[in-house]
This record gives sequence, structure tokens and C-alpha cells, in this order.
Amino acid sequence: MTKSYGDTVALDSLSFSVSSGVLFGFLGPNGAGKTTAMRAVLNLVALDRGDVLVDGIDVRENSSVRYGYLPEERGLYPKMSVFDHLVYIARLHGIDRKEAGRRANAMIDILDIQPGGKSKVESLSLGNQQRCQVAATLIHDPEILILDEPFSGLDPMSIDIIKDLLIERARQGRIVLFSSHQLEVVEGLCESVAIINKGHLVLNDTTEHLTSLSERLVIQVREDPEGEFLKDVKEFEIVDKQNGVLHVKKNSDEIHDDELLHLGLSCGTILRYDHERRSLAGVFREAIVRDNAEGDTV
Amino acid sequence: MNQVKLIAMREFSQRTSSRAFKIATAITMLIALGYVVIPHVLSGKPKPETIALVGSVSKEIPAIFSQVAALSNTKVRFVSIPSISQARSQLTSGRVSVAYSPRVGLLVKTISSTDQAAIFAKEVSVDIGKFQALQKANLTPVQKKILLSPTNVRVAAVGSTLQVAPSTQKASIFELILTYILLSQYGAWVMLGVIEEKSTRVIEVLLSAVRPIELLVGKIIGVGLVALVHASLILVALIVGLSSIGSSPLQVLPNSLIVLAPLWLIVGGALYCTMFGAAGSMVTRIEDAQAVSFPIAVPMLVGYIAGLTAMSQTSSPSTIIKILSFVPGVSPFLDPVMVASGVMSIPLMLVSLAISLVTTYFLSKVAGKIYVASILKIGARVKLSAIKKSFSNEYI
Repeated sequence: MTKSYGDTVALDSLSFSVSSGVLFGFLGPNGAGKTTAMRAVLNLVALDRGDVLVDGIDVRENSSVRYGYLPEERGLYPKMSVFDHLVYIARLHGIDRKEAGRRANAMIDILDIQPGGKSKVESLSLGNQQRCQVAATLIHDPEILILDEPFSGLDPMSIDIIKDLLIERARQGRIVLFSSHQLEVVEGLCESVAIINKGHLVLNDTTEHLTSLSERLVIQVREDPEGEFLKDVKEFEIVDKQNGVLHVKKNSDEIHDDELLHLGLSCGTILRYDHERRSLAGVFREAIVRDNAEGDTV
Repeated sequence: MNQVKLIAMREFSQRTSSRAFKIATAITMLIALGYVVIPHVLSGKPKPETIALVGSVSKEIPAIFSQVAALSNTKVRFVSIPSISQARSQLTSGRVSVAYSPRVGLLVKTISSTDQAAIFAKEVSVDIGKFQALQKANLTPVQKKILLSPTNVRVAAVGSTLQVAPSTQKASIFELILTYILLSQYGAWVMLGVIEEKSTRVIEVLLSAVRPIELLVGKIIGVGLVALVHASLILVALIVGLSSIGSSPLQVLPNSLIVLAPLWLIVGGALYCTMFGAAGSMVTRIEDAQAVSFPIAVPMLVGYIAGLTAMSQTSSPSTIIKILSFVPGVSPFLDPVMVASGVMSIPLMLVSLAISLVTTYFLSKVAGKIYVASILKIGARVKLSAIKKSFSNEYI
């Protein structure tokens, strides 16, 4: 997908694929082109070049695909009641009045939208408004779910409810693509991730692979939270320290990892010893920094 | 089509249940009622003048009083009083307005250029004088009748003269004001509705289900129906007002206005609501609405002023008014009042109507493209140059 607005390149030959049945995280810094890409998938933006294919068919030629779209900001009618809003959205998607009403009540119950369906949207808390928006996105049982920051402004309990709903839809074979800056949530939820920067793809892989074990070690010694036992050991270097947990980098290939364990044991009780697992946030930062640096070089 | 209907229904139900609609409708209905009833109440019913007939009075004298009173829409009642002294006493106390005695003539309490009874007595005195002169002339009854019932000489102008009945003028001015209020109010509602959907981002949710042009058309139809309901309620208020003062709308309102006012309201509504909708799509914030809507408000204002000017002219309308009556956007205001006043023929109005409809068709196509090109551009006001570039490649 390629799209420019004047001199600004929003999408630069961006290409990735999303499988049904998995949760797909679509990540990127602010202004990376995520929203434009999502709108292109929804056929709301005409691309300069490129296509969006669903099961091999161009979305411009396949109007029968049911989309559920959740924009980043609250896409709700403030003066309507929650129930009326949900029924209206469902009916626009072709669901008859009776069924739309039944589904609206069901979504209000599942998402526990308080204080209830009769309340005006504007009277709800931000968290409940976001729940209402999620309900409007799911009410017509879309085949493709595109969610822009679905967890924004939600408390942990609300996040759990919505995570469960998204997992359920993915397991039903729906395509679920969402963006989020809450990378710890994405890491725990998504099976696959794409990271974009300045409109182009930087990384596209499974979350499992991206967050695989790193070469760094993690050790926690009860009696030595500051890591004094490594003060004079040149082969190991403490690169990070958090609440007594030491993140250690090995400076020599000639020394075995377990030597760190032996050094720790000589000082006290080992509470934790492991290879460091890379966080998605770390992977994200590294990928963007590297891409920006490459861009500057070019 | 089903989605357009759904969008229109939502607009209709949301708008009619809003407090703004209820208040605006109640106020305009009261204004309509007041426009009819208040002048009637303020003018008041003419107070009957009590005429004292002293002694033996010729039977024609009360008829003369009644004839003169009828000319000034005054009612009279007569009392017989035996003596002049009693008549003086009753004039002083105010129980009697005018007294007549064949011996003394006419008596009033005071002689003043502003006193109604004195003015009335003076007018009656002329006719009684004529009557007495006729009595002395020994004429036959037929001759007397001819002389007592003269026909007025026709007055004609050498130039063209606009003769508009006061009721037609009053109704036309009201129709003009109403058209201006309704078109500006409901045009603004369409614009604010578009801005609301854009600023709340609900537009993005809607566009995943419907095409932008369906959304705009549905909104215009929905708001247009609200405007028609509002206009109908004002008409009801007018009918109630007219009935309460003993008039019938069909007697007071010109037939052409009854037919043309709603027709032009619909035509003008389609034109203005489309343009207001497109203008609304160019901005994200309510504060920016005035800047984009001002160019649309100009022809409305021109139409309104031209309509008032046409109504105030006593001769046939000026060339500029005649030209303006064919200008789309101005004609919805001007044409109904000009036809009602008899200064525009129906065939010419049909030509103007056709021009308006064709213009509305092409403008709606342009407005639709502006809407499509602008509606997803959040943030600063969308410039026309950017819209022009988007015309060829944005999603429609």
C-alpha cells in the first residue's frame, strides 16, 4: 500500500498479511501511518498504489465483507442512549430491528456497560464509553475487526473483558487486527505483530519469535541486591538493576553462563536465575531506533 | 436505500426529541399566533357610540348616523331622550356620545380635532345638512334615493401600480421571515450534525457500514423532514390564530402562497442543506463553522432583503429584483412573494424553479464530492485546493 498526502508519504510500499484466527498487533510510533493503513483496509482511503485483498479479492470489488471498526477516539453519538446507538449501528450493518435489539442487550450485559442501556452515551464514564464503542464494533459479528487503540483509557478489568472478547472472535475464525501503544497488553495477547515506521514495514513476525530469549542473564541474590559480587568480575557487566533483579551482560564468550550462578551462590541465596526474555517494548524501541538511524544514513 | 432511510429516521427522531427543537418550535408557533392575534387585540373592537335622539326625529336621521358610522367601522346605538336638558346632562356624564335635536342640531361634550365623538358628529352633520336640503327641495322619493346613494368616481393611475391587498402583504412578509428562519436554522443543523459526526469520529464507524454520500443524503432528508414538521406546526398555529379572530386561512392567505411556500421551502432546503452539509465536512471544530458557512449565508440574506424590498415597492419590481428572482438560492425567498403579489407570472416562476432544480442537482454533485474528500480529514480546516486534488482519487 502506498499513499501520499501532498509531500507527506503516509504509506510507503507497506505490505503485510493477517491470518484469520489469530490476534494481530499493528504497532508503530505516532504518525507511522497506522490509521491510514487501517482506513485503507476499510476501503475508506483510496491508495495511490497497491491493493487490499481479503481471501484474494480486492476489497474495492467485494462489498459483502462485514467490517467492525473501532476508531482511536470515541466514535459515538453523545446524545443517544447506549441501546439506541448499538441498535442503530447494527441496523446500518443490515441486521433487522428485533435482532439488533436482542444483540444490543446482550452486548450491554457481556461488557457490563454501566449504568445501563437507557443511559445517554455522554453520561457514561470514559471507560464505559470505550466498552460501548467495543460493543458497537462487535454487534454485527464482523468478519474483519480493525481496532485502533481498543484498550485506551480502560482499567485492568475492562481490558480483561475486551481481551477475552477479541480472543473469542479470533478463535471463531475472524480476522482481528488492532493497534495499541500498551505493548505489554499486545505482548500478552497477540500471536503475530507488525511494526511500522514512517509508512513502511520494519518488523513482521510472531510475538513468540520476537520476544525469544536474549543473550542477557537475570539473577537475584537475596543478600546482595546491589550486585556487589560482580564488582570486580570483568566478564560480567550489570546493565540494568530493578528491585534487586540484576540484568547482566556477558562480555566474554570464554566464560560459561553458569559461572554467574556460581558467583551468586557464593554470596547468598539465589531467588532468581534465568536468561532474559526480550520484551516487545524493547524490541519495538530497538526496531524504531535502528530504522530511524538507517533512514538518517540514507 | 434502506440505509439512507435509517439515517434519515435517526436524524428525525433525534432532532424532534431534542430540547432545542421543542423550544424553537414553541417559540415560532407563539410568534405565528401573536402575528395574527396581537394586532387584532391591539386594534380592539370599535366602541359603540350612543346617540341620543331628542324629541320627534325624522325616521331617516338614524339611518344617516348608521351610514356614516359604517364608513369608519363604528357601531351606533340610539336612545330617545325627551328633553335637551337631559341630553346635556347625559353628554356631560359620558353616557351619550352625540345628541341630535331637530331644534338645536348636534350636541357633543367637547369640540376637538382629536375627539372621536366630535369628528363623528361633524361627519354626520354634513349628511344631515344634505338631507335637510333635499327635504326642502321637494324631490320625489326616487330622486332622493339617487342623491342619497351616490357612486364613487373611479381613480386610476397613468403608470403601472402594484395593488397588493394588506392581508396578502402581511402573509407574504410572514412567509418570507419563516422561510429565512427555517432555511438558516435547518441548514445550520445539517452543518452542525456533520461537524458533530466528524469531531466525535463516529463518522469513521459509520463509513465502515455506509457510503459517505448515503450518509449526507440521509442526514439532509431527516433534517428536511424535521423542517417540514416545524413549518406544519407553525401553519397550525396560524390557523388557530386566524380562527380565534373569526377569519379563515383560505380567505386571508393567497392561494398561490399556500401552494408555493412549501414547494420553495423544499427546493431551497435541498439546495442549502446540501451546501451546508458540504461546508460542515470541511471543518472539525464548531468554532470554524462560521468561516465556511458565511458564503452560503450571503444568498440567503440577499433573498430575504430582496423579498422585503419587493413587498415594499408600490410599482412593478425593479430590474434587479426581476433578475434576482431567477437566481438559485435567492429565488426560494423572492418567487413566492412575487407570485402572491401578482408581479411574477406562474410560467416565469416555473422557469426559475427549473433553474433552481438543475442548479441544485449539479451543486449536490459538487457538495457530495467535497463531503467525501473532506469528511475523514481531521484537524485544521480543509482547503478547497486540497479538496480539488482529492476529487479524482478519494473513495466515493
